[in-house]
Amino acid sequence: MFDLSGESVIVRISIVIGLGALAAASVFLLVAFALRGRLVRQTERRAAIEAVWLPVMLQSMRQEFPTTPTLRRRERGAVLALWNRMTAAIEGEAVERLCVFADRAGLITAARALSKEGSGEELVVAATFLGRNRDAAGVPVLLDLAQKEPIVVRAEAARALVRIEPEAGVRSVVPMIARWEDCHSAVAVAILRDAPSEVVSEVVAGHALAAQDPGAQARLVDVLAIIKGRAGHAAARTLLDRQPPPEVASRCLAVLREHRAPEDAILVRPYLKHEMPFVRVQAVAALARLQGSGDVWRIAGCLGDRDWWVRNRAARAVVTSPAIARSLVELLASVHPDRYARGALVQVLGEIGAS
Amino acid sequence: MSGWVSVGEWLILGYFIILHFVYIGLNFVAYASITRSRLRRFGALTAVDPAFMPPVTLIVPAYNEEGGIVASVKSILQLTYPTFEVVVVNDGSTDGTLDRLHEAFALAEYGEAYRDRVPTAPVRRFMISRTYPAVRVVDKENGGKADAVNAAVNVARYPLFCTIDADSVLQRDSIQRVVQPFLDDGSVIASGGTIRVINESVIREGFLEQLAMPSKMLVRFQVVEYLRAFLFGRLGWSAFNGLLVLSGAFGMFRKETVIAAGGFRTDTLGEDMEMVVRLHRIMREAKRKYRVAYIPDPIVFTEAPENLRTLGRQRIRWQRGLGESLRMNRGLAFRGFPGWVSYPFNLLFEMYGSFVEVLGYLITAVAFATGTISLSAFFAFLLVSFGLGLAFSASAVVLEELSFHVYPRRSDLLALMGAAVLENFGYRQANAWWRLIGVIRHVRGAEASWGVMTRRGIASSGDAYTRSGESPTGVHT
Repeated sequence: MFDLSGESVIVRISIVIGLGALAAASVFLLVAFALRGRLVRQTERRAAIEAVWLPVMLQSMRQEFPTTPTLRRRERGAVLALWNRMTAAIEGEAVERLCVFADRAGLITAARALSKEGSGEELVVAATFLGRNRDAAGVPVLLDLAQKEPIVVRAEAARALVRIEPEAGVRSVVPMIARWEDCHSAVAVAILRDAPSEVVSEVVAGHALAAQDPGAQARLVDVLAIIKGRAGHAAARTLLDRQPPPEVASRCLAVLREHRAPEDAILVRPYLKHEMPFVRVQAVAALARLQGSGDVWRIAGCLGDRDWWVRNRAARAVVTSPAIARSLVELLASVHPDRYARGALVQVLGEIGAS
Repeated sequence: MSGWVSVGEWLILGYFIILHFVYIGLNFVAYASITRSRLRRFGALTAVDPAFMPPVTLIVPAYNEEGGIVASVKSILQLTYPTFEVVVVNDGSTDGTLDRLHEAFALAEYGEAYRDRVPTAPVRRFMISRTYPAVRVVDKENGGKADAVNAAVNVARYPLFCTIDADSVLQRDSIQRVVQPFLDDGSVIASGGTIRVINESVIREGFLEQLAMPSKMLVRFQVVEYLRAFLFGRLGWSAFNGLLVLSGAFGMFRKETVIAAGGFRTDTLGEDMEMVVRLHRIMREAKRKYRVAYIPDPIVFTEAPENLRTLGRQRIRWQRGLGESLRMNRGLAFRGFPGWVSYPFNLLFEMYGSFVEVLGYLITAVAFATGTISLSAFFAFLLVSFGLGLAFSASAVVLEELSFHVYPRRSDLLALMGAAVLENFGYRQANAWWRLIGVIRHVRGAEASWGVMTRRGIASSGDAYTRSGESPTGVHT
């Protein structure tokens, strides 16, 4: 259309860039359509797989043992995901029957294969399957998966290990959790949930006491605050005795708060004077829960603390304490020599009164 | 004359090449990030134990919002999150905003032990709901949106806070999603997510029921623009911790960091963007480890302007907000990745790039009209501009298909593609023009004014706050 022979270099460059961009745009638009097509096909394929496999799984739960359909290679992920969904929704004997079905239908072999060669999503599906199926032969595969990236895959593999052999699983998984810096305590708790709390508490407490890194120690103590156990309680007491770093101390105080043992008050009291306000806040909260008869006045002593949060928590503890009559608290709120203490008490009285 | 035209041509071509080189880089990064985030969403263990979800304060600044404030707070109360409080700030409303809140939430006055950690206009009183103890109301004298947010930050109980515009529509799990980066990485100081356009969609009880493709072409252009800005612009920058903009309509901040930074500035049109740029500057100056996170998940839905007048005003305001944020935080320049790359890029391309764009169109048109350049040269420049614009829009559509495909019908995809093509004829030029006006007004230091947002879908009175932070500033191409 145009004669470019006499045109400057800049015009030629522009045309090359423009045509290249147009070609890229065309490719992108085609890719977008292809992706939409793939999505539609995937949805249809999943529906077709469910239409075949769901009735068979339901029959197997009723102990009817139907003829199992042939598991095609490309269907493995979707069938395992369906099986995972089914087992997550039911409990008891029906799960055992689904496990028997999984063996007969070749799902276990499929899961092991998928855990070696699948995509990220397929690795997660395979790990979940092996865990729910409680297949002890799957342990080596899961130990491999627990070394992979990203955390989603590792965490699912770790949880599967705990499901298969709770005690042994906890013993092999907790050291991993202590090492995994990207494993938030919440994920750690989710991984360990299926094991007996006393076992988890004992193993986690052991590692928390031995940990050298305060970050790892804090993560493990966090777990002890949620999964309650005697060993965890004892570990928190031991750690507090050792005067640990502030981030560990505050978490240990949280553990003591959860256990509500009055004899812990003696360990908590010194922390009311800790230099870090977030530790003092936890100490006030813990002491308020332990409800020692004289401690409410110790807490009242924190009403004039230099940190707003310590004053607020102390006021909340004093106002809600059964050991002090409301009339006395109201008197305190009007005559306390410290205006910040008065402010904290007035605020909490107002908030609690309104609710 | 032709010598000058030639120099101009080279400069403009150079500008486009550098700009798009960066965009291509962001695009690649965005593809990788989308793939990672898909896997993250897939993992069942990402459903964090509620015991570990940090409690959050949700801040609703309200000025003359009597029409929608109650519905807005009630829908916020339905969000699924273990522990949160709602702090509504009545910023000296002259209508019945406070009365409506009183009626709906049975407010009782109480004596807050108020800490004026960030200075604000005088606070009149504090109220707490008798029916919903998680709802508190701060009644203060008018000081603007940033001032209202600062007052709420002063009374916030929890370590994370988030501002929510009264007319934003959230997902039920929006908080959970936007808090996740704080759980994943302890150094995160702020996080935000993607905003989507909600015009003509079905909203029930404050939540989105069905997202529709808007019928107006002007709104569709904005849909494509938002996809481009959020899905590869912000996602790309965030991978390098170089993101300078978070959505003001729903951005989560670490409270103590914001207080240490002095709170939100009241003398800028883009207080949320300014805050993010300032946080980068302060953390870099203090040489502290930090991260501003971004998740691609759609967490907030917002109504886009449906007429050119409102759209123009909005874009001018955004551009001025950008200019102010960059000017107020010059100290960020040449400090780490944000200082060496994001800041100069935003300054040269997002801010003053509109000069080059408009100049490019003018030079090309004038040179063609005066016969200085040939027809083929004229079309060559148009081809570059159109081709690159289309390529990046189409790429954003691919990212959308790879990740969320929130528009379910095939016809929606066609509509998106059609808008991606047509926006190159007029819309992009108008955008460049508005941005140029914004730059000129910023340079001249014209007085800031919020203007009035004409809305039709989500109840809000005319002089309520208009939003600033949902700006898709970042990838305008």
